[in-house]
Amino acid sequence: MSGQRSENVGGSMIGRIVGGAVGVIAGSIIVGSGTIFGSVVTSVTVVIANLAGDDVGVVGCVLSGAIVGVLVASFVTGVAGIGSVLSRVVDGVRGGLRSWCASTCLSSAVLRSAYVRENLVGGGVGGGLVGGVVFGISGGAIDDVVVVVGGVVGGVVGSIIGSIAGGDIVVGVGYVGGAYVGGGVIVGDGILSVIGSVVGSVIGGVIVGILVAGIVGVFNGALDSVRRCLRSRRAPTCLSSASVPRSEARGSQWRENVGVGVGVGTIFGGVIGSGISVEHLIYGVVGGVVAGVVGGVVGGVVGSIIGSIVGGDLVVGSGVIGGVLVSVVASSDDPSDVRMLTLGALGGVFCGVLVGVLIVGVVQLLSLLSDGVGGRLRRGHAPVCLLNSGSAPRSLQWVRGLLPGDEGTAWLAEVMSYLVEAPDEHTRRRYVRSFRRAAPQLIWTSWIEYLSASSRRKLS
Amino acid sequence: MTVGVQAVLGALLQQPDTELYGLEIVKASGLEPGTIYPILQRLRGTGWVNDRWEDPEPAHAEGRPPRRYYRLTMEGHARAIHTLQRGRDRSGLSHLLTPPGSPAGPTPEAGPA
Repeated sequence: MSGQRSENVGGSMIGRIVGGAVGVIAGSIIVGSGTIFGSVVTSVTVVIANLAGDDVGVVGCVLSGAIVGVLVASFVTGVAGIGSVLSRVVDGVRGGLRSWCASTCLSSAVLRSAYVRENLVGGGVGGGLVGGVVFGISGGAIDDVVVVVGGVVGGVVGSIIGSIAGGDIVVGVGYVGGAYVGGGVIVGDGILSVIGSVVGSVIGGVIVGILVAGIVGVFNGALDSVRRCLRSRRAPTCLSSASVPRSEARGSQWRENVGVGVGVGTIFGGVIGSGISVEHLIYGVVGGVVAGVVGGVVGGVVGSIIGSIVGGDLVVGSGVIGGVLVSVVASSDDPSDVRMLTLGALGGVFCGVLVGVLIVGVVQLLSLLSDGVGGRLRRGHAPVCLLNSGSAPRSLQWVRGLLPGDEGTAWLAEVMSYLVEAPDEHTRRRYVRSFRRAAPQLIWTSWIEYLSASSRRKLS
Repeated sequence: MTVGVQAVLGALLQQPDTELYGLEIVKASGLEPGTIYPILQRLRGTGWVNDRWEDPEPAHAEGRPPRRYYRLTMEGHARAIHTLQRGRDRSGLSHLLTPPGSPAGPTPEAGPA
């Protein structure tokens, strides 16, 4: 089996080079244009290569190349992000020196941290996890012993790269755990399986925690929506009539969701795939293309729809499809086996729902981190449906995230009402400058008032 | 109390029975819009001022976002008059209690109820 694997994986040199190059380019394009279709496109690449009659080695190289491309692009994006953070910090320092107010400087750094979380963690996490899985698969194709080494080393390397790219060490550590779990499952005994079990338990605990947070977030969101509807039956009219495209108003959240969705979906795909099907990897990759596409599309679509409903965001569902596809492709080993197709479909549904709920939990956590205490949870109050943050000056949008509770939304809504009613462009620019100059004072006053109000509420 | 706060209170006192939105307060007080908001925020916190968001439908009909209207509360009205009277005695800001166009504005005691 090992020899056959080696031979198959070897493929032709031209196939490797072409496949790898295509994969790298595809991965770069994927990451460069947003990670939403990353896993899906990777799977499609495999399908095309397979239909073209190439051997497993070429297919594997294409897949690996795509993933390496994602990794590289994630890394590059992460480096660019770090550079951007540094430049923004410098800008913040300059601004702070100009206004003699340290909070301006701090706010820039905080802003960039939120940006990193929103835009880069998804790509970095996804790249890291996929990297671990791919290294594991590659190792498994060569030799059973190398499976473990490949899985662990690949996972560590991938997670480190992912952490750097995503700017989040904690996430990277989580992925190292995922790789260990994969290695432990593959071996079935020995010290690595013990480590895998322990780390897997930790990871499982974290996942369950996020899952619970997601479920709670779903119910909270549903209750909040019902409350808003009961409070104001105009809400939907307001949304549609205030010339605020819903897609724009939620654009930031979508990016955040999609990034996390693809990352989390990939985690599941990778862990499940490396755990279940390495034994039948060769046939799994070939036959799994058919089974994965059929089962994954059916199960993934159904699952992602359910997950989207649960998460309230259809775009997230699209991201989940990618993860499900990877999972099913890797876990299926016989295209003619109806049982595997059924299992793939059911697994897709399960993963879709699970990932959808997980995304909600992660998004809730990120929202709380980036929006201030209770910010997004309470954003549904009066001004939210009136606010088109997309048309607000960028030099003012950052202030919103630094204000407590729903004050940021209210402030930006009021700012927009000023700017829209400004008689001319000169006055409008003057207003913008005025709001920008007053931002430090506004932040200070807002927090003082917010904390005072909280204290008063507790005392009463 | 800062001159800015006194200016905002003076603007709100000029039409105590009328709600004013931000730009009207800006024009009446002569302050910059960025300065107005934190002041109104503090006044809301102390209960001197109430705020209300305009109904979105008429605003949309006029092709603009809803405005946020402010108005002095009963307590805020009384305290504003008292505060501005003290400020006037100290710094000559009597015009803040005087409606525009009025040669001699009402005294704080005879001010708008």
